Amino acid sequence: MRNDELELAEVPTDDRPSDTWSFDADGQGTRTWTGRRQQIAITAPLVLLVFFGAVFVFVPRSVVFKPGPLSSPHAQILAGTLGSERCAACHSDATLSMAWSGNGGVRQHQNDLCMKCHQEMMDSSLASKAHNLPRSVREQLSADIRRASVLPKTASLVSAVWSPRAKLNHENVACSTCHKEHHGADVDLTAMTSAQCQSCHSVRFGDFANSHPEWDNWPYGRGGEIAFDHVSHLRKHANARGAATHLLCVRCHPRQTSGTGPADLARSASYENTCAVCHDEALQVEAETGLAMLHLPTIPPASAQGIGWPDVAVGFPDGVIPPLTELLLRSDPDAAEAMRKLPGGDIAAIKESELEATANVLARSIRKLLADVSDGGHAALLERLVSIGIAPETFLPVIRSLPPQWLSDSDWFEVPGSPALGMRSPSDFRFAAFASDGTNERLPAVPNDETLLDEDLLSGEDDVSADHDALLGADERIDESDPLSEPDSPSDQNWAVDPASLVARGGWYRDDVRLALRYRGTGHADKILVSLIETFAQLSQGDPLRDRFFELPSVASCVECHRGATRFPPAWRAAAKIGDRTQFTKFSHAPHLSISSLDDCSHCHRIADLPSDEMAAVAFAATDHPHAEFHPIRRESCAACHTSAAAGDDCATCHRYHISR
Amino acid sequence: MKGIRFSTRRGISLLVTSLAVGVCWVVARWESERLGRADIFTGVTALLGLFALLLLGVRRRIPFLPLGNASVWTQIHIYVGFFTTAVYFIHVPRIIGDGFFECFLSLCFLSVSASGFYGLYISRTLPKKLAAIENQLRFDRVNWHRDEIASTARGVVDGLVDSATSRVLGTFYGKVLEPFFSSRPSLAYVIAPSGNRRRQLLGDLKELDRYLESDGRKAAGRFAALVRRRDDLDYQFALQLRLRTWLVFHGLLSVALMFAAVIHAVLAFRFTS
Repeated sequence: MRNDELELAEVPTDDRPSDTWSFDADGQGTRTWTGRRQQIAITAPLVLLVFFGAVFVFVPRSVVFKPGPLSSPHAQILAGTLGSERCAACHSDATLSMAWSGNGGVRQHQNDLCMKCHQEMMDSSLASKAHNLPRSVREQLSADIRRASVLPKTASLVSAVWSPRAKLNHENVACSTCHKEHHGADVDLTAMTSAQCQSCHSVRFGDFANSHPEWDNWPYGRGGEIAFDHVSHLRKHANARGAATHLLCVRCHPRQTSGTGPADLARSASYENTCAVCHDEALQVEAETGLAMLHLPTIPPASAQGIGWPDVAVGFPDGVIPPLTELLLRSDPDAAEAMRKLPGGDIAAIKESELEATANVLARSIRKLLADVSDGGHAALLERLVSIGIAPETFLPVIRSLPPQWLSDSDWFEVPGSPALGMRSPSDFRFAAFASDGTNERLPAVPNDETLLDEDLLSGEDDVSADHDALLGADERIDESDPLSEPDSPSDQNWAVDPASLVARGGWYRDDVRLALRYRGTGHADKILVSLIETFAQLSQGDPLRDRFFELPSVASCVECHRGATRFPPAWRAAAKIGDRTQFTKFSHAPHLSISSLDDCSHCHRIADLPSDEMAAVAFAATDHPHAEFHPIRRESCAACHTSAAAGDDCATCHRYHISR
Repeated sequence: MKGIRFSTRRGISLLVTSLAVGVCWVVARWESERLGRADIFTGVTALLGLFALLLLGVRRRIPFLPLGNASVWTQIHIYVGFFTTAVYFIHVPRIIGDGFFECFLSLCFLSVSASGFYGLYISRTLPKKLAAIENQLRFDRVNWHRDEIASTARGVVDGLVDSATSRVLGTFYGKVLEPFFSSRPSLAYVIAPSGNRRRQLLGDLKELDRYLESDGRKAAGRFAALVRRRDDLDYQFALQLRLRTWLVFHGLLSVALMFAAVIHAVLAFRFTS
């Protein structure tokens, strides 16, 4: 029998599709599908509500809500913290609070929370500024770049159209704008696309090889702390003894290992390993010429009246005020005014009409200086420097090495009745032949004890002539020869001071013949010369005193190479550019050193082909100017490898965002 | 629109949806490149998509308002579903979220999306299968029909006069047919209905013919008809249950998804710096 031959009862029609219950003939009811669906629609949401309510109440929020795994560095740091505190490390209490209005917690900008850990990286007050630079600096940089840069001729059309402009307030950039967390452990928080970097910049370009602006002054023209003439050394001295080993690039720019990263090249090596090989001897000689701290000039008699100026220093105006003396006199307005009338500090150069008064003022000022030092010691010296705006710290090595008693005014200046050395006439000292009586031949002969006892030291006699027998001692000790005749050969004379033997190892010494206090240098890195250079570097550019000091032979031998020392703060060494966060451009030799074709430094750093030594000298003199000694490194040199398919050409490869100045 | 062929309409709809997804991706990329919040953009887009998807349920419950054809709404619902699923994958950093809540949210969305695609499939295939069966049955009357078939089969057994026929068919009925007629279909059959059971029973009945006289064979024929009727009933029941269960599942999860998505949006805005 087929299906259609089967006769069954008709289906009851006593219900409706929307009924929730249906009843059979016995009256037993069963839920219809509609009824069951209704039941589920009411029950299921209630169950879910209760379930989630319990979860939100009893389960810690840090377990319930996890917007994504943290990056590895942050995850490691926060691994030991409790769940509730993990979120609070980066999110403010107000955000974490369940209160809708946010009044449940402390309002705190997220940048401040970031800076709690990253405060060493940058100034917290500038953390939210673009590039961590104040607006004024950014605007100035933008103006400089617009003037200097060569804009790309053919920027990529696609990039020009596609690159959107960032919707950012450059004065309030959140850290999370660029560093997006909760995207997984392996995500690099510092990764940025070139388009993202350029979104804030008004001029955009496409790929590095074709579109990046050309540069013509990088990497040269930076630094300048140490002046080294590459052209001269490699041209003139290429055949010198030892040049083959001493003039290798790696000799002065050795690889230096760091604990964290691969080896990079040092900007300069130690003096002992590099320059000393050829220059130490000459430098020693220059340093040993030393300089004077104090030197009493010879002033006219009219100027010396009433001052008690040493007689040996009275006469035809002569003498140069040492730069250090002039510096110490500057705190005295009268002395400073008087010094302005001395071209180059030379008393002989004063105008005739002003000579007497000026010399008198100077002499009084010098005496006052010595008197102050006698009374106040180091403090007097420091006070004078501070009053003219010199940072006292730079001068401390000088005064620590210099006993104030050496500047006491009692030795050279007139004290009534005192047989001071300063009372003697110049002829007594300069041309005297000293008898060998077992005493130190370098000291002038002194009267014997009997002669001294015969004299009343406190008699107050002012007029002590050079012919006073009691002071001079035996006549036979006086050389009767003509003082204006040519001096005898040195072997027949004994000078008052011979610094080469007295302070052979360097140091301060007092020359009572010349009435000077001098310093003899020790050679390279002499601490006193360093201190003095750093002191005078604080004077303003164009100050004649500053120029005069740096022209002193012993000083010039230092600053000729250490040009950075003439700035303030001084820079004696070439500052490492690796890790220098003041620069927008970053470069490390390390990854390039492993490429065999770049083993030869001249692959990138080619000495300029200057046809003559004169041009080389001009180039060296202008080493502050871009690539004077070297051919400039062009963009195509870098672009040979730095493409998107090879070494990478992202902005962040060579540029940094966070700048510290 | 009625003059355009269905395949053309489908092509246009897919094209428009693809374009919309493309535009969304481009805008998200653009926002990301300008240091904007691409996740906020895609998240809001996905949330609006969910709201739009829910509107179909609202439309179904308000048939009296002139809001357009339900079939048009369904088509819109389908393509908005495609779009929202694509936006989800643009939005999320990982497919399954971390954390209890985000994991629930992502599983919820994926379940709703998967059930949506499944619903699209079964809504296109099951009606044909249902229409191929004679006697369109109401789902709520399935039990009544089962009872009717079972009582009819009992009546056939009771009506057997010949002792030999009664013995053969009675034994077969007691052992095989009575459990078949009186019980509900197995879960395996409901999940994956097939003709195996039907073929088996009909084959067994055919085998009994050599033991039966003509009256017995007529009775066996009636039993066969009842087996076919019952199998058709069970087949309809399975397919209708599948459709209805899918709808409940899809609807409930959609509500849960909406609830969780709103919480997620509130939290995301709160933590946006």
